[in-house]
Amino acid sequence: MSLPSIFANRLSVPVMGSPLFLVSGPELVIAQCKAGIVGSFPALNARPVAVLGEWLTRIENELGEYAAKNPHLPVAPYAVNQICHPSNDRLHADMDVCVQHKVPAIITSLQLPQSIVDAAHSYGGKVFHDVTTIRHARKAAEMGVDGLILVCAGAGGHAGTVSPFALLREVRQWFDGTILLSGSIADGYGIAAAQMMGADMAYMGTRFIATQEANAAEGYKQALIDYAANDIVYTNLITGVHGNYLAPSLVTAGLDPANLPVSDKSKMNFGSGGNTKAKAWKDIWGAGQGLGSIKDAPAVATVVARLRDEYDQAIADFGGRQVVAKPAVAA
Amino acid sequence: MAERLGKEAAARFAERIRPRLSVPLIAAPMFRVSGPDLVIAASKAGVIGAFPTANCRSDAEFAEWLTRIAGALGPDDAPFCPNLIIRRETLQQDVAAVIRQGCEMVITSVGPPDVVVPPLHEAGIMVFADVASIRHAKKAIAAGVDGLILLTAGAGGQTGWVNGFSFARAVRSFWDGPMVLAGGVSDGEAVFAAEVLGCDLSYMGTKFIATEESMAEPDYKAMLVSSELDDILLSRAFTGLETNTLIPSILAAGLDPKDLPTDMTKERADALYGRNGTSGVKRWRDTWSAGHSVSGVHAIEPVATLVARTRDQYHAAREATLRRLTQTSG
Repeated sequence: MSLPSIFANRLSVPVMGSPLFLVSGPELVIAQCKAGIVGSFPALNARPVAVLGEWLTRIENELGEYAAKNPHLPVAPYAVNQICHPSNDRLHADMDVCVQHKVPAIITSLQLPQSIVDAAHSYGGKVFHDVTTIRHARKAAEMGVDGLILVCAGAGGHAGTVSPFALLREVRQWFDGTILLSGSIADGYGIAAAQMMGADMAYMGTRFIATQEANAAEGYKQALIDYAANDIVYTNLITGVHGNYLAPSLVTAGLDPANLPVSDKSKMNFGSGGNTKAKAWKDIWGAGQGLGSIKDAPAVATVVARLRDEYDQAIADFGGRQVVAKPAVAA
Repeated sequence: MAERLGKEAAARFAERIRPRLSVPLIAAPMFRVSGPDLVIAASKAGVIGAFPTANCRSDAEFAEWLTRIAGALGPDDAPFCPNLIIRRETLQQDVAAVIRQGCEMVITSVGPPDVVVPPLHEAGIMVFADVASIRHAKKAIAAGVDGLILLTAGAGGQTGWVNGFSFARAVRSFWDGPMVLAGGVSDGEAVFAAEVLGCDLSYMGTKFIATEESMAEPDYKAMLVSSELDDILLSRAFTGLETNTLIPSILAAGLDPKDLPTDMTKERADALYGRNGTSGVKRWRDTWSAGHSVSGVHAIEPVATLVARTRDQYHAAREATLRRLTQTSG
């Protein structure tokens, strides 16, 4: 177990809010950090590039003021997500802005270049890379990342297919850095279970789309309340990378979720004018399999308070649980 | 509000079965792998030993296995548990045999458990059904089952695809009875985490393939030791259903794992890879199954050693949690 020092005593519950395409903006990030969880957003959400610096300044100022007024409350650091793909022509310009602002944590996705790790480390920033396989996890660990985000089956947006139990237990055997577990964690019981298996933090996205501060259409928030895991489709059609999406939103966009064409990696385009800007993305809604437990769209602070209560309850439940009676087996 | 179901089964499980377990675990039923030696060793070590009835070639052999296993186990050993394949032609004979034997529990797979629940309940046998979706779980509960096995991403053989975290939490919101997590569990820490999520038991399959007592051939066991999570392929190609298979075994069978059909039906898969298949490759015999937990297989060892280690890991994880609890509440 290894929580980075920048997070020590600054979290109310061990959670990082994942960067949500189009959905995460300064309002959501500020609300998450004030509630005591790490808030994050994809740099590509700030359009054009110049807006990124404005967002960072606003986040720093508001969190600084809040922390000064509330010295007894944990105020979490924030993170920026960089999509590391050759088609992202903003990557290095965005990273320069992050270096200037000394962004506390950088979340990296897809093909991590060493230069990004080095740039973050140059000012003491921490790097968390998201992975879906053991091979990718090893590669990132060799590049010196501070943490690995294990993206398992059922995560929202870009997702893996792997069992969280298997991937986490495997990586924990050889990685001493920070481990974040991602995929379908929607309540405090899931956060507690992740920690008990050796993760340091849970990585949660979908739950925060259904909050007041999220930059998502009302219809999207309502869909998360109305639908459940059976309504999620896993496809690479939308970005070229496999991900989980709400089937009803695909139907609205004129697609048949049962007969989606198969895309390939060559369709990946995360450039400033790429397919991530297409109208389709606004109407095709990503969601993880944990959406079944979402019943409302309250303020972020309310969600985090509930997570904290459930997390405490999950741990407390074990005080009263029956201990297995049978003695150890002789080997 | 609908009446909450499963409380009675939970009480029965807690009273009669749980106290006989050294770790809350089922040695999963595995085709061509689980036989009497594995089942007896598992139950003696304090975990529920399961096997598919399809592993027996005849009614007579099934009866012989039941007698042999029951004869080897005492009242304090963990129960053994036949796995009934609902779509199997011999289902009625299989049910009659477990009733004659007086088994304590069975697992049902591949098909709705409705037809077998009444006769089994009349004989006092608990029925656990495996399910891969909320819809299946609700149907099995309506059929009157006593326990649910949640097939999730990364289970070996015919698998589920959903994440165990959300599946366990969702089912717990409407079911109070015994619940088993299947998929990716390879050690005691994961067994404990499954309990935190609200499960009563975990399935562990792949690690039991690599035990001395399993019927798997030596090359299969060796392949488990040398393989890791990235070597598992999820495909419909061999059975028409989502199945996790070891990529090295697909390659050894002369097939290209990157070029398998994605639109396979059960009928076509049977015609190609079934008992009288025409492809020359026989599924299960030539292509070997494993779950994501294959990363946790480091050696071929006796069942008792595997269970003892899993139990130690489980208790260490549990004690660490209790320590944290006393620290934070202090």
